[in-house]
Amino acid sequence: MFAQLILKECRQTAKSIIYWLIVLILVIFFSSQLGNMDIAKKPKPGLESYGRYYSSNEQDIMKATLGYLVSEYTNGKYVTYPIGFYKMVTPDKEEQKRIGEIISETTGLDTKEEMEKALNAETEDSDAEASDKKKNHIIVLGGAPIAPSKTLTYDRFGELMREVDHLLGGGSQYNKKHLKTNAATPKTYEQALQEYEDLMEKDHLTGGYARLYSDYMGIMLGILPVFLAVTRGMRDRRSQMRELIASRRASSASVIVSRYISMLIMLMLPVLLISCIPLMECIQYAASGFHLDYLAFVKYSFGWLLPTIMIATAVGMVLTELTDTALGVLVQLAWWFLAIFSSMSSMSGGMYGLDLVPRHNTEYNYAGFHAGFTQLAANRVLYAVISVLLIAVTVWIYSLKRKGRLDIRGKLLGNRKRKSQA
Amino acid sequence: MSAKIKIEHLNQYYGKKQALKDVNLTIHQGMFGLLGRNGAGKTTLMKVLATLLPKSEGKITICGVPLENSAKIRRMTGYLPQDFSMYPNMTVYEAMDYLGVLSGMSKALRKKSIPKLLEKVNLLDHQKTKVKALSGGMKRRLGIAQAILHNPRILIVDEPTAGLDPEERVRFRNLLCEIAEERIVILSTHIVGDIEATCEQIAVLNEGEFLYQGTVSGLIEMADGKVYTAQISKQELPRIKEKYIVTSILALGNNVMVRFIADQKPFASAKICEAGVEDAYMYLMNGEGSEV
Amino acid sequence: MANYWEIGKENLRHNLLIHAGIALLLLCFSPLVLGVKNLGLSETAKVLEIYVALIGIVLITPVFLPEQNRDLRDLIHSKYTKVASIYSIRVIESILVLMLFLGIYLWFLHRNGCEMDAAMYFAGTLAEMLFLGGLGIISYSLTDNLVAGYMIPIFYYITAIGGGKKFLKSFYPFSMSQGSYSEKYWLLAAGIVLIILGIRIRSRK
Repeated sequence: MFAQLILKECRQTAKSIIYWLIVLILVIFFSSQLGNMDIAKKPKPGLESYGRYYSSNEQDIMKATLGYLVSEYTNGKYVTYPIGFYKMVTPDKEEQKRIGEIISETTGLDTKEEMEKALNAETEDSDAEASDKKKNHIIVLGGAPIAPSKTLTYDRFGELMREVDHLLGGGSQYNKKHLKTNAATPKTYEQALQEYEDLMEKDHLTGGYARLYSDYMGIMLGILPVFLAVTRGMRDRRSQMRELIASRRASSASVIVSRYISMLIMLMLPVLLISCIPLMECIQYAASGFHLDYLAFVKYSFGWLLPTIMIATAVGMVLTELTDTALGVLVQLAWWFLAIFSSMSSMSGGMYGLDLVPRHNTEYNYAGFHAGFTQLAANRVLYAVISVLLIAVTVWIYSLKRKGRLDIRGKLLGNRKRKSQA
Repeated sequence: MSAKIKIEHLNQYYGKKQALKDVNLTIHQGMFGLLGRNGAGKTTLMKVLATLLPKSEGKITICGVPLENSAKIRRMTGYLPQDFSMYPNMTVYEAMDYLGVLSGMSKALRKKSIPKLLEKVNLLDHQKTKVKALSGGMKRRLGIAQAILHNPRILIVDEPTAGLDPEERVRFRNLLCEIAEERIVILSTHIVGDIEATCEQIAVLNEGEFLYQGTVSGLIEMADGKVYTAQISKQELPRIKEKYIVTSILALGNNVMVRFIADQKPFASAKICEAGVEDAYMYLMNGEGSEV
Repeated sequence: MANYWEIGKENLRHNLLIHAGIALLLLCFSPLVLGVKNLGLSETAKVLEIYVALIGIVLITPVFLPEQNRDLRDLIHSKYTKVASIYSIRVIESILVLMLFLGIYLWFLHRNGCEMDAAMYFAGTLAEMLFLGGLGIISYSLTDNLVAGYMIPIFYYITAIGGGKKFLKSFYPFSMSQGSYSEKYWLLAAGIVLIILGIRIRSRK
C-alpha cells in the first residue's frame, strides 16, 4: 500500500506546474553554468600562470595574514564579510590600540612607520626578484606578506587572530575559517600537473566533474525543493480535500512520509538525468582504455545533493503543515541567502564546515576534497538526520491536525472571512 | 453483530462556547437523520464521530470500539463533509483510486469496486472526466462513492443535499436509502423533506441539545391533532402568523391557504388535518416540544 | 471614490499588514548581516539592489491572495466593483508602502554616513522592486499558484547573483553598484507592464 501511495504521489507531482518549473529552472541553470564545460587538458610547461591555490603551510598563512593585518591597521579600516556582504569596520581607539599590541607581539613591529616600511620593503623586494622565485610568492592584495616573529607559535597566532576577529565583530580575514584562504599562492607547473594527475587517476575524471556538478546544482537545490513541498502541503486545503484524507485509515506517517519520499524521488530524477550530459562529455573525452568512474555522478548526486534536497523539502513540509501558509518559502529563502553568501569564501572546496550548500567550485582540488571528506560526510549526514527529524515532527503535527487538536492557521488568520471582502 | 453507535454524556466545547450539551444517543442499523438549524451542532457531532474533532467529555463506542481507537474507527467509517472537493486535475477514477489507496485497499480490490461504485452513483461514463469539470450534483455523488469505497459499516454524510436541484435531491436520497440497507447511515440536514422520505430514526438538535429522538412517526404524533388549515384573506395573514406557527402558505388569488399549528381549534373555518414531519418539526423548534 | 477608499482600508488591515510586517522585519534584520555604515557609492547600491529590493517580492506578489478560494473569487467577480480596480488599489498600496520603507531605509543609510545619489538610488531600487513584484504577479496569475509567484522572481534573482549579467543584459538588476542606471529604465517599464498584464489576466479568470 505504501509503495502504491508513493507512486500515486509521484504521478501527482508530475502533473504539477511547480514541478515542471523546477525542472525547467534546473535545466536552464545547468546549461548557463556548465553548458560549455571544457574538459581539463594536461597543463603545458612554461606558461605564464597556472592559477592559484591556498597554501596550507603555517608559515605562509601567518605571513599572508599578518600582511593583511598590518596593512589594514595602518589604514585604520578593516573589511569584513559577515555573511558575504561587504562591511567596513572602523574600530574605536581602544580596539585599535589592542590590535597594535597584537601586531607588536606577532611581528615585532611597534610603530606605524616601521609597519609601513615593512609593507613597502616587501613589495619592492618582490618586484626586484626574479620571476622564477615570484611564482612561489604569496599574494597579498594591497599589501605584502610580513614575516612573523621567530618565537610565535601557530597556536598563539590563531588565538590572537581570533581576538582580532572578535574585536572586528566577526566575518573578517582573521577568523579561523578565513585564515586558510589568506595565503593565496600562484601554482607552479608541477603543482598544476599534480592536480591534473589527481583528477585523472584518483578521481577518474568523472569524480572531479561530479563535484563541480554538485557544487552548482546544490545552489539551486538548496531552495527549489521548498516550493514543491509548500505547494504540495497547501494543495489539500486548496482543493478542500483535507477531511476526505483525514478520515481514512491510512496512518499519518504513511500519508506524510509517502509524500516526502515521492518528492525526493521526483527531485532526484532531473538531477540524475541532467548529470548524464557531463557524464557523456567525460566519456567522449576519455581515451579508450582509460579507467572512467561511470557511477561518479550517481554517487555524488546521492551523497552530496540528496541531503540538500532532503532538508529543503523537509523545511517546506514542516512549516506548511504547521501554519498552512507559504512561510516555509520565506524561512528557507532566508537560510539559503545566508548560507550561499557566507560560503562564498570557501568556494574552492575542502572547507565544507556546516554549510547548507557545500561549495567546491572546481573540478580540481582532489587533495582538498580528500582532506575535508570527513567534514563533508559529517555535514551531509547531519542534514539528512535533521531532515528525518523534521519529517517526524511533520507527522506529529499532521496527526494532531487530523484529529482536530491543532489549528494554528485558524488562530493566525482568525479574521480570514472578513479579510476576503477586501 | 449488527452495527451500533452508542453515545453517552457527550459534551463538546469550543473554548468557552458549548457546542454539544450532554448528548446521549444510540444509533442502530439503517438510516439515521440528524435534523436541526444551521449551527445547531450537527457538523460538530459528525466530525467527532469521524474522529476529526477530539471529544471534550463523554463516552462513544462504534460497534463496541471506543472512539479513542481512531485507527480502528477510521476503518469502519466513511465520511462526507459538507464542503469538500478533490484534487481538481485528477480524473474521477484517479481520485477514487487515490483515496482507495489511503483506505488501504489492494490494487485488485480497487479495480473491482471502483467501477461498481461509480456505476451505482451513475458516474461510470464520467470516470475519465477531471474533477474540476464536474457539476455540483456529480461532485456530491462522487463524494458518496468515495465515502463507501472501503465498504464502511458506518457512513456519515453532512448536509449531502445542500445545493442540489430537486431532481438530483430525490435521486440522492434514494441512493442513500439503498446504501443504508446494510449499514448505518447518519445524515444531517436542515431540510425536513430529506428526513421524511428516508429515515426511520431521527434526532432533532437545537443549540447543542436534543429536542427529540425517536422515529419519524413518533415525531409526527407529537403534532397530531394540532395542525389546521384554513382559507383566509391576505390581510388576515399577519395576525395568524403572529399568533400561530405557520408551516406553509399557498396563495389562492386574493386569499391564501395557510397551514398552521394550534393547540385547539382556533376558529370555525379552520379544518384539522393530518400532521406531517414538517409540521411536527416546526412545532418542536418553536419551543412547544420541550417536554421531550 | 469613497468605495475605493474602503477597499484600500480593508486591504491595508487584512492583507497588506502581515506582508508589510514581514518586509519590515527583513529590513530591520539587515544591520545584523550587512554593513550599513560608511559605505561608498557602490556598496550602498549593493545593499539596496541585493537586499532591500527583495521586499518587492514580499509586498507586491500576494495581491491576489485574499481571493485564492475559487468560490470567493466568483463572488467577488460578481460584485459591482470591478475586480481589476480592487487589484489595482492593492498594488498601488503595496507600492506606496515600498516607497515609504525605501525612503526610511535610505534616510537611515544616509545618517550612517553612506554615500549615495539619493534620488537615483530611490528610483533605481524602486524600479527593481516593481520588476521583481511584476514577475511575481504575472507568474501568480498565470499559474494560479502563489508559490510559483514567489519562485519565478527568486529564480531571476538567483540567476542575477550567479553572474547573470551576460544572460540578463538590459534586465540585469544589480547595475547600480556598477555605476549604470540604464538597466533600471528597462526594469521599471517591464515591471509596470508585467503588473498590468498580471492584473488583466487574473481579472478575466
